Amino acid sequence: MMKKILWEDWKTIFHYTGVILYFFGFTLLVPVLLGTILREFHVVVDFLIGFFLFVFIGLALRMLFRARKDAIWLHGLCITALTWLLATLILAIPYSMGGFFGSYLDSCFDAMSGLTATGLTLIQRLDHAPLSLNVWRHVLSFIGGQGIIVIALVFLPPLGLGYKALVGEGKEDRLIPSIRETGKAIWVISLIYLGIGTLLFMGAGMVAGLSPLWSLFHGACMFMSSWSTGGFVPQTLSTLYYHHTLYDSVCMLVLILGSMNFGLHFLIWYKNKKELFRDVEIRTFLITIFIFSILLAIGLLQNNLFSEPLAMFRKGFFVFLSAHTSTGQATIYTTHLFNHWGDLALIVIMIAMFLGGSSGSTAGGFKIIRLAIIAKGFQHEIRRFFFPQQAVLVEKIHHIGDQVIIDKIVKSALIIMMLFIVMQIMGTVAGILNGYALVPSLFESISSSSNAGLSSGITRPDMPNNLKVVYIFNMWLGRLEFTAVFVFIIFVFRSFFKGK
Amino acid sequence: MKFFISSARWFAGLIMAVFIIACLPVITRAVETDPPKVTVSKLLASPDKYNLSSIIISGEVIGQPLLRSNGAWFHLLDDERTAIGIWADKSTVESLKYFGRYGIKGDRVILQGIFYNAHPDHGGDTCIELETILGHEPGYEESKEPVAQEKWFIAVLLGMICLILWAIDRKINKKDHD
Repeated sequence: MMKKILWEDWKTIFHYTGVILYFFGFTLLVPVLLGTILREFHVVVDFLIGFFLFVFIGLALRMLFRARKDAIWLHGLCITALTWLLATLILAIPYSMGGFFGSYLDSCFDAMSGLTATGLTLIQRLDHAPLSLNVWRHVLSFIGGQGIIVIALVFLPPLGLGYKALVGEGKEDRLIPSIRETGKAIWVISLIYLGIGTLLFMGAGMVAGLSPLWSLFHGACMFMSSWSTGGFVPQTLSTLYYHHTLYDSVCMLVLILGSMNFGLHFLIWYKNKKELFRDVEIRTFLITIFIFSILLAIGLLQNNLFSEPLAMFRKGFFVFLSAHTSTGQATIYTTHLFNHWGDLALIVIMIAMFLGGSSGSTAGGFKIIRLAIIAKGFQHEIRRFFFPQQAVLVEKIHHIGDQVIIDKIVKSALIIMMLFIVMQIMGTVAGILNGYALVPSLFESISSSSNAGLSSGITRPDMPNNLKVVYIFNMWLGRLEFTAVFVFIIFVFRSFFKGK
Repeated sequence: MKFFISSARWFAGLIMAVFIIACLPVITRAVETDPPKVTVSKLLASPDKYNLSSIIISGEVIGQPLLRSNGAWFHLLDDERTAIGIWADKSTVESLKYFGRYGIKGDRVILQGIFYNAHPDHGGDTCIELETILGHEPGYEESKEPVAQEKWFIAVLLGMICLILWAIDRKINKKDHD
């Protein structure tokens, strides 16, 4: 029998959501402080209002709805979905006050894109945007990449909530038995990389010809964007702005690191460096990179593009890697990709976006580990025919330790794959209904639901509002990998129509 | 008489031919010196048409200059608000005064350059190699509007409400712990 939804459940969800929003609000002090230093007072006031709104709503929810019992799985997942949604709606308020977005809906779009580390954007006059706002969009991407719940776990007192909400956020690998320590480990790893990565980008920026201070600004933004596989960039020209092989190379290195599982980072750092070469996800990632790079090169050469190896590396491979890690940065104009790269290259980019990066990382998409699991399941089905009927075959993969592949895991991977496909078809249909052609609609739908961020040109401030809502929903659903959002929607439905 | 008319025709024809031949260099030079005026969108829509040909483009200089040993990059935001990288010699880039960003309107330039769909010397970058700057209007620092009083009022009001809520919350928590 299904659990009845009680008012107590809502109170628990509201209470913890309030607690997380309250603490998350403090991150808005970053643009407030930076804006004060840079004397960008418009940003300071807008984000001060945003900060107070987070504190007000967070405290109000926490005080009005006292949780009288420990959170269960259902609560954890609902809290995650609701927190991401409310955070987006509140974040959009300071955005829309700044005058760089056409409407509140555009602000919601950008906030959700940043939070889910997607990288699609509706900001206008980005090249003239205040530095503090620009930096904040990258910080948001960085935080969103790790997860709101992860950050809350580090700073909050024990909630009795931890792991249940973490799973909803797609960070189910426990690095350390304590869930709070796991959150801390994720942040320690990220912050160490932030320091090293910013310095690397800064060095590359200086080699590319930027002054030291501007190198630092671009370096910090580019690292946060690349590491979180977010895709925001400080200038409208994206990574094409830098015109340098070293800069592109540093970017590619960080994209790969950012799209790797945090658990694997943890193992390599603290335990065994050989894990890098044993992990099935990394192996599968290398195989897909190898196969699709060759296909991409064939496709581009067929269209007489990038015949020089360096150009192929900086343009073709960069964009492919950006798609495969679900980042969305580009060293080309994306209209160029769409109009001149040819069908083969285009389909490779779309498949790469669909697959995405590693599980338990900042990357979006279907996730490579699921591809490995399905491939292993298929291999198992074939192998069965070569053994006696009574034989019991056990398939194993090595991913943060040895794991036995059972039917349930394969089934789960297949369901997620199916859901991704359904969501992308629905997004494509929405695009077509709004008058766009099939292929651009499909491209944009895959990009938004995989949190990739490359655009066929549909995502513009003047696109229809209903399509903006569809893509916001796609980004939310894709980032939380369906479960949390579906559970929350059914929870709401049952509360009003069945559960009482 | 017939001979006279025929000669006059020949003569008129000769004068016209001489005139056309004399004008030809002027006409061709006019065609040569008038490369098409384009926008970035136009270039991207027909890259094969414009690739390696001279074009004229105008817009605002934005971002920061990227100074290299053998030249420099700057970026142009065209009138349709799409940007493109311009490769030029260092002295030209150093002569640009304002680079557009928050609070700064960048220099407005009209420039002539060669469009490259994928520049072989710059790793396949889509860019323009500067030939000459045809027009240059210096930028300026934009005057910053003061923050609206209403915004400050809302911020202070919300801050005070939060402070009260926070104090109540602390009290409730303390009571719960006791």
